[in-house]
Amino acid sequence: MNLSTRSRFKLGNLGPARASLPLIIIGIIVSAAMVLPLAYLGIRASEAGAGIMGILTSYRTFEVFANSAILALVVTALSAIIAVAAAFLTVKTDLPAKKFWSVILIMPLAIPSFVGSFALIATFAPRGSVLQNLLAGLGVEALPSIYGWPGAILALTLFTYPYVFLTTRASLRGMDPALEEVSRSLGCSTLSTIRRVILPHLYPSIAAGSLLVAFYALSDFGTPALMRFDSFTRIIYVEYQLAFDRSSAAILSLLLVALVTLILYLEHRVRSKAAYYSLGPGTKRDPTLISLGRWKWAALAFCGTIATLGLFIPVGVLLYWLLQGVAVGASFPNLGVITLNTIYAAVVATAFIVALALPMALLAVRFPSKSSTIIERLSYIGFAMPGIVVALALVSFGANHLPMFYQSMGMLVFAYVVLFIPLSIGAIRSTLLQISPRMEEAARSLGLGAGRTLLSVTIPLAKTGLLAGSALVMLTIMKELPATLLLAPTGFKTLATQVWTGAESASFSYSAAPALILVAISAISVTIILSQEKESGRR
Amino acid sequence: MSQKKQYGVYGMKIIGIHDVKKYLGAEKIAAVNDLNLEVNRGEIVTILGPSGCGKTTTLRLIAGFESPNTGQILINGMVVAGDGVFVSPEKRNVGIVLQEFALFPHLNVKRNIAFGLRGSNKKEVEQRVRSMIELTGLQGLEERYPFQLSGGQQQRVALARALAPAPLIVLLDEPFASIDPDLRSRMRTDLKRILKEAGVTAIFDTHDQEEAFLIADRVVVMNKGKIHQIGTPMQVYHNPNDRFVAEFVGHADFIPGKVTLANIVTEIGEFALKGNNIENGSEVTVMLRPGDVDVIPTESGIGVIEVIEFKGKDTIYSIKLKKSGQILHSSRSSSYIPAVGTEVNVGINPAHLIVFKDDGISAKNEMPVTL
Repeated sequence: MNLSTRSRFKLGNLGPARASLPLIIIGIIVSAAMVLPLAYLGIRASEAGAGIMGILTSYRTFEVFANSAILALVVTALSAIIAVAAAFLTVKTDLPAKKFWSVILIMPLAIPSFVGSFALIATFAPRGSVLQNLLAGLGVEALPSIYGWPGAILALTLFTYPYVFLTTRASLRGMDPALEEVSRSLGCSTLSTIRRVILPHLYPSIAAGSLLVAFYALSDFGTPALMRFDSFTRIIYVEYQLAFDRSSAAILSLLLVALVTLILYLEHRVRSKAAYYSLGPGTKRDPTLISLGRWKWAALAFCGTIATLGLFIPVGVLLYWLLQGVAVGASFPNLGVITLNTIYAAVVATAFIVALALPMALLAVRFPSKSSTIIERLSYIGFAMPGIVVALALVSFGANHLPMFYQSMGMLVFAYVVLFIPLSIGAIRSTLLQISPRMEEAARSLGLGAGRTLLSVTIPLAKTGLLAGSALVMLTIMKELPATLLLAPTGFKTLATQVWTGAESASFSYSAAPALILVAISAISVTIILSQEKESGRR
Repeated sequence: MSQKKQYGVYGMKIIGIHDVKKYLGAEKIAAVNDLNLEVNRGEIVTILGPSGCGKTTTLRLIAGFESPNTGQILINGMVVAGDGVFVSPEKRNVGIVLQEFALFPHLNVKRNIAFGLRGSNKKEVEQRVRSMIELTGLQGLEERYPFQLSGGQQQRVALARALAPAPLIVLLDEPFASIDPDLRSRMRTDLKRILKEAGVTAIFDTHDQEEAFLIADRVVVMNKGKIHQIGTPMQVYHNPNDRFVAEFVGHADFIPGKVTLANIVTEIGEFALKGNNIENGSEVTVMLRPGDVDVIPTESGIGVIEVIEFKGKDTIYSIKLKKSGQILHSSRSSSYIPAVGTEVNVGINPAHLIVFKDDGISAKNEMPVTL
């Protein structure tokens, strides 16, 4: 259904399907900007010359690769298990307060992983954390270390499993109960129906969600860095800070980009296959619920534990440290400035991003051709580049070739454009696809030129979608960490860097307030994403 | 209809539904009320009724997806629901074909058909699948996935899948609702052939009387949870039990009349009453099917042709009766067509007379005949 409308709108071009020159020029400039960081990394890497092989085959590289890969695998597997169980409980069983649990179990998505990691450290760190303070009376001087594997796995799993939860839940809810009925009528019991019909139906969505988690685990900077876990992102940062060997950092970056690209490619494949799986919706009957019986308490305990670790503890602990700070008379003199800084950078970058993304999306949707497809594809490079990689590329590019640009606001905004323009193009693109080109044709037939049609028909029709997409981009920029950390002008503090500083120096009450603001910002973006999904589900 | 309750029937009677009530939803609406139905082995029975009449609920009760609030359901002589017994759907040996077919999207045609064939050895499964594919004419599509099939093909896969485990009964829920109209008539004859060849007992529900008449051995007409009539298509059409059935199974006009000693006097003429016990002087209505009404152009008739619908093989005339203004319909072959505005008399030649008393939709047929 969705697919056919989409392709029909795409085929219906406006008269002669030739994009105007300004569109194409903007397209080429943007794609060039997207390619720049990657190309520069390539050049830096090649400077190592024959040393490349040495670095690629070094034990260190192997260790980092293994760490990252194992981390991604473990986090993905744990996330899938938690998410599938939670989805099943909240959709297919008679679990008490199902609606409450489905909202609560999505909420950890609203905690940026570095904020969550900070909160977990503030709770479970060996010394000075909430738990250690509580146990101090019992003579416990230090807790077992949370740093390294346990912390990284715990934090990433807790704050990313909702990706799988969302996809699996949607697919479970969308499943036609008729499939189960047919299976029963063909002699399958409830359990064998789950195994032979329901799970196979869910595999594509579980896979799509899991690949998102794997992508996140590989490219996330905040969690491994705060949990002192030697993954790609942390080592790239460490090498940069040591400034010992830039080409080694560049090679590791490229290796990471390759890995991430592979995962994104797989995710794309799985998702388009999943689309074929859903035939037209049948007569929607309420799904038959499985009675939990004696397992009800175990199910409630499971949901409660996940919600406590992923939502209640992080938010509670942040509040606790905030009140602690207030209690000892700490004022937050910088909080206003920091918040304004954050908003300022985000607004400027969003303006640039939307101004560039709109022509890109128009080019892709209304003037499909070989060259416009290439331009659009190039703009998606940003998706495959973890923030730390873009940051590293721009830092060394700026330091070496554009010293007056180095650590300027312009550099930071440029990094944001590279990182988030794909998000914006995607949002605008799906909005434009919902506007029938017939509307534009009607305007043209009434004597309006291409430019005026854009201004008086297309943009007004796309307004809500454009606004939601822009808000999402802005909120996402506000919680960006690695690029801000490396590229912000000296002394320019944002909410994200403030949390980082506090977490690194274990001064928890110092960072509690900005962390809570970031959670609120993130909660808003999650709401936007969910409402968009609901809308597209309705269509 | 004689509806003797034969509990524990075995052999000929494969389904027995006795005094079944089923309430649905929060408001406890009786979806099915005092249902009594028996189905013979190898028979094709259609449940015909408007949407919401309880026909789907009836199928779901037989399949075991709903359990009755009161009453009893027997399959092959065994109680499957009622008397504190409830046999779950997977143990009833009842196949279903649902409206949207519900093919398993992750399995290809072959594996969809083989889904219910467990426990048998591989060779037997393959053989059974092959014979089902032949029966339903799906050769060449074995490896396709559901999304690669047309609506008609999907229906045949769903049917093959339901028939593969050799069920006692197969239930079909609005089997043609999601098939393109131009494919429907071919699929109807195909379905009847396949069901008869498989020798299976089949019950399907529909709101389309034409479909019901084409396929069914017996038709069950339902409305608001109650059975109004059970009979052959011929009986239901020409000898409806009550006015609801008369109107639902095909177009009918109802002409008011008054009973005299030996006749019913109406605007369009008198009908002879033979051996009846309708009270003298009663107000009644006479049912006329368009096929029973002939158009005879004359100089000054009792009516005027108001609308002519040319439909190709036949033509429908709407005749406005001069005296009452009522419209009477006539269906004639289309070789000769008088013009709109032509004055006509009507010739009525029903095979037999159907008369209702004037008490609304549930009015009983006063002159039942045996067909």
